Amino acid sequence: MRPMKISLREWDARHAELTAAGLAEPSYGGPLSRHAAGGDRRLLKLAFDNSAAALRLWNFLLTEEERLAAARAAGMKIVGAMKDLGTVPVMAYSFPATVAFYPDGAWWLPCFKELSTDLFAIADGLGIDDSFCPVRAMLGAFVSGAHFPRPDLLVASTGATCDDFSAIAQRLQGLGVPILWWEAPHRRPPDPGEEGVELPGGLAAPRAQVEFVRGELVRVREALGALAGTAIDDAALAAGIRAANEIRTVLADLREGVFATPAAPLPSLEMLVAEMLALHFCSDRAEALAVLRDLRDEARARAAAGEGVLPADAVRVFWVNPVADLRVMNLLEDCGGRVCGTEYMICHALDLIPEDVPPMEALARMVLADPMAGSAADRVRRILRDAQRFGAEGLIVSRIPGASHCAWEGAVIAEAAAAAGLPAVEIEVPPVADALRPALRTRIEALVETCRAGGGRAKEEGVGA
Amino acid sequence: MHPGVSGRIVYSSPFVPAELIAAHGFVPERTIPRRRSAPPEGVCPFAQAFADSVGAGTGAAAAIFTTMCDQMRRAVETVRGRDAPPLFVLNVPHTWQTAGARRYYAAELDRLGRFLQGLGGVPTADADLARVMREHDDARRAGAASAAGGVTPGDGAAPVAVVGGPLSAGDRVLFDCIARAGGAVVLDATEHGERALPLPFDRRRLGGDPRGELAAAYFDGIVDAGRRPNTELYRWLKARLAARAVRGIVFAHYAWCDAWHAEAARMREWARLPFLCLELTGEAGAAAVLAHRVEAFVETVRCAP
Ligand code: SF4
Ligand code: SF4
Repeated sequence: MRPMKISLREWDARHAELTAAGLAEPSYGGPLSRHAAGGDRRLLKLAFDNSAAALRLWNFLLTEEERLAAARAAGMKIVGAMKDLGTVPVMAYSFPATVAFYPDGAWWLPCFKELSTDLFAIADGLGIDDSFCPVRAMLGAFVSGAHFPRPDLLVASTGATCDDFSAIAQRLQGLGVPILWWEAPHRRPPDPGEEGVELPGGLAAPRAQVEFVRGELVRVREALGALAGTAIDDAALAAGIRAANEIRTVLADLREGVFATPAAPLPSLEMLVAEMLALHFCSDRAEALAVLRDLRDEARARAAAGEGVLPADAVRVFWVNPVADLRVMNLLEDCGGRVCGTEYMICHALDLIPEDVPPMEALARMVLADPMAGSAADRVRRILRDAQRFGAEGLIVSRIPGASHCAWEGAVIAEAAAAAGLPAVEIEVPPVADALRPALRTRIEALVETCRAGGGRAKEEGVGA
Repeated sequence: MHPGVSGRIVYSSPFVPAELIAAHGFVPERTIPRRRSAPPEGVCPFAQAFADSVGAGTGAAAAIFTTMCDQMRRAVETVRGRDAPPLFVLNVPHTWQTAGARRYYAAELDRLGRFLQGLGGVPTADADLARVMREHDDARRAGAASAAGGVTPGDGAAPVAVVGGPLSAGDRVLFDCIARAGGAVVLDATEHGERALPLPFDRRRLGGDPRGELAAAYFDGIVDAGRRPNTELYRWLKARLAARAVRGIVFAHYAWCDAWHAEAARMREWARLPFLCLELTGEAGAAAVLAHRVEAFVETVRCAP
């Protein structure tokens, strides 16, 4: 079947067709509609890629709760990593019989459940209202205990993180949930004469900051060792880093292959989900690798056959920040655009972790390479560099309701893009954006039209930002 | 003032030690900013007011921001390139329970010292710093003593605590509102009150290691909602609420200030006292509503058994 986007209902027929043709699915496989029946109602409104690789991706994503429950039942230790997005799981998976996940992922629960759960209501009741980012759903998820098992160890980075998350996690701790806090400081450039260290992503930080973070990670490592009942040596940690890098390499190939190919071989929605697998491997590192390899191979095969899921003339848009409502990724494509590059605040989880330095230092460097730990100016530089590399014609900053960083950063990023001749818009996307759909469509269509008319015009006419 | 050095260093965070600035020959000026522009949706009015005041060109030799909150950490970027003086971002760890965090803060103070020297400040010998620290400590002790003498509420005045983050110049009207309503602020636990004071210096350490003592007094002494964990804030409050026989809490936080906003519900449950939560916007027009609410609250406190 040629690549195309299909609805959930169409996926059921497609699933039957694939299984009849001999598709061998992993244990978590099956028709996608069962997830909607189980409460993930947003799926009913999404358009999906029709490949078996996409089927595997969605099934993998949507069965994480079951995997965590199985891990608990099997006596494995469960680590809840919070906020650092990419570092602590690399350490945790280096320990035997230990899995890690991000409770932060509850960010998307209100979307998947179409606000049908009481997650926000619970957060409201605890004084965490909608002036906070949708990650407040995590508080509701902890209290209700309905969406993930209570971790055996909860580890949260703080310091140069968003205030939303830090305050919400503190509220959780105030309810009696123990948290091991560790400091991820605000990255600064080395002062003149101060020894600097190169970080992933072409950034730099003072040696003193790297050393400090290394010390913080040692505390986390010790806590993980106490939980697992055994310490691990640097060789085991280095192996964990290599395994993470293997995943990152496949993901990089996938992104490169999809973003650089004129007719997008995969839709932006599946690409977003794929990127998220890099964070904690969706609670199964080996399987995450296999899922990503499948996707990469599918994208390669389609590109080689000159087939895409979108027309080759779709306007190439660089997307900044993840969307709280996944359906908006579909909307971009409905409006004639496609994603050709992303900065979902997790570049440090995509860049390779250095393997030529001791593992704890390598992880410390990764922490400091977090785009949210540094200045907006650093973030803008990376965005513009990647946008240029992937040939973006326009840029969308999707603002996260309530997020403490968005109010300051969004305009800075959009203005910098416009100044660089890249038409840009900033949109705000709530967890279920249906009511705003006409307005969002208008803004995205305006951007797409501006880009089609030539990026320079956008600048002259002040359409950007 | 040392020869060749003049100028004010402006800052708003209590984690910036005035002693260090003064010892380098500058005049420390802890700004209480006034709202100059309406902050965009999502922006803390206090952070905006401070950024505006710095960006408008204060004639200061430098301005210091800290990383104690996301909003301030990002506000500094909007100031760069405006009519701003040289800027310094002091990295204040949010965690406080480890020796590493304490050392990091101390190293940041050393870096601030180098920055001040780069502006023409005098190199500071330990003895000079110790002398300045003694002076500031004396002044604080004197202030604390007179405040302690003045905390007894007058006849019939309702003893209340004001708890929260910073207050911009316009919002300090809150204290007048409380007084006019018949309340007495017996505990100022805002960012400009005693909550945000360093510990009294250990005079014995001033001779040997004044820098270490300075860092320890500020880092260990200031309690704040944004510290992780923020248990010390509650411990600190518990002792003072009881000692001052506080009968009601006015809790003030700025719109979009996550660190303080998130504590409101928890503190209400914890304190088990009449509790008024005010979300401040820095707008002059909000004073009338504020007065009204404070009046009703003080009345409630008065009538509470
Ligand atoms: S979306 Fe932004 S505000 Fe929300 S948790 Fe993530 S970084 Fe924090
Ligand atoms: S009031 Fe809150 S958000 Fe505003 S500057 Fe202070 S700590 Fe930051």
